Amino acid sequence: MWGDLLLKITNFAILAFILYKVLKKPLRSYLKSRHDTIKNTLDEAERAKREGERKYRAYEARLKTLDQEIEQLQQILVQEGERQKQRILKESELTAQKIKDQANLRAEQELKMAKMRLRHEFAAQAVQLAEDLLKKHFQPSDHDRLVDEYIQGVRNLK
Amino acid sequence: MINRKIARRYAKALMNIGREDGNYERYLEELQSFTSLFQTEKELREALINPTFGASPRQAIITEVGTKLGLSQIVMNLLYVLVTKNRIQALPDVTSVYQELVDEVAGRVRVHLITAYELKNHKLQELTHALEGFVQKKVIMEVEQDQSLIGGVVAKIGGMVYDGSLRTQLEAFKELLEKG
Repeated sequence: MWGDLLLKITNFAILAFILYKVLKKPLRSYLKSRHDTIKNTLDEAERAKREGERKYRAYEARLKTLDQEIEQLQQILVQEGERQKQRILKESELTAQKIKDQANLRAEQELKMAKMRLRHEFAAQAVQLAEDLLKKHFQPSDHDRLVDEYIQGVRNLK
Repeated sequence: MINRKIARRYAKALMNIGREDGNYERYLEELQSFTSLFQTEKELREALINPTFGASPRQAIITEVGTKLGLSQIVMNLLYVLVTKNRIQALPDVTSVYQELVDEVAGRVRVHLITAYELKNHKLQELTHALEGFVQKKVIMEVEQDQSLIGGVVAKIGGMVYDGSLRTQLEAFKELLEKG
């Protein structure tokens, strides 16, 4: 019984020795790597914390001037709005004036055309009336008189 | 325009002969009588123009008609040439240009007179004398009646127009009224 127990202990000791020899290097390497990883993570966390604090301070500082910035922005918006309003008003005035000018010009042209048509119509009617009267009352003696005047005109051409 | 150019060549040739022998006035009368027949007689015109008839038969027609009209050999020769060269359709232009040349040599001018009413002889003579005094040439009146003139006369001398018609006066009056 003791011999069996001793054998088991010996076997375990041999196994433990072999495991120690085989796993010593990889285990050390693993542990070192793990140590480095944890260290890096901690460093990163530290950097992030510092960056967070920096940003916090920056935001805190900006928050303090935010009201002022908002007020400035509002002023800029109001000024820009006023400028746009003035520009639109000016453009509208120009457009309105242009439309008015064009309408006036068209009206003037139409009036001119109407006057011209009226003058042409009046002239045609007056001449037609004169022609009708002439044809009705014109006598050969009138023709002779016209020819005499014509002959006199030709003589004067010399 | 082309006819007129060709016509001038033939008319000048005839004029040269006419001036040499002193018969240019007679040639004008002969040309005018044949041209008048050429323009009024459709069958004669078509026979002379048609090239399918050949030159000889067409020359024979000219001889026959020309003899009846009493045309001189010179004028007949001109007509033969025009037919042979297929340019007889230019005959009215030849006559017209020849007439201008003769008028020029004879120191006269043709006036195309349009009158609204028929002119009495003494008025026509008075007007002719007045125009002769103006152009300093003998005037030959070619009178045409046109009642659309309403009254008065219009004289066309070459490219110039002397308008004494009521129609033109009315037109001028109309233009004046239209311009306001």
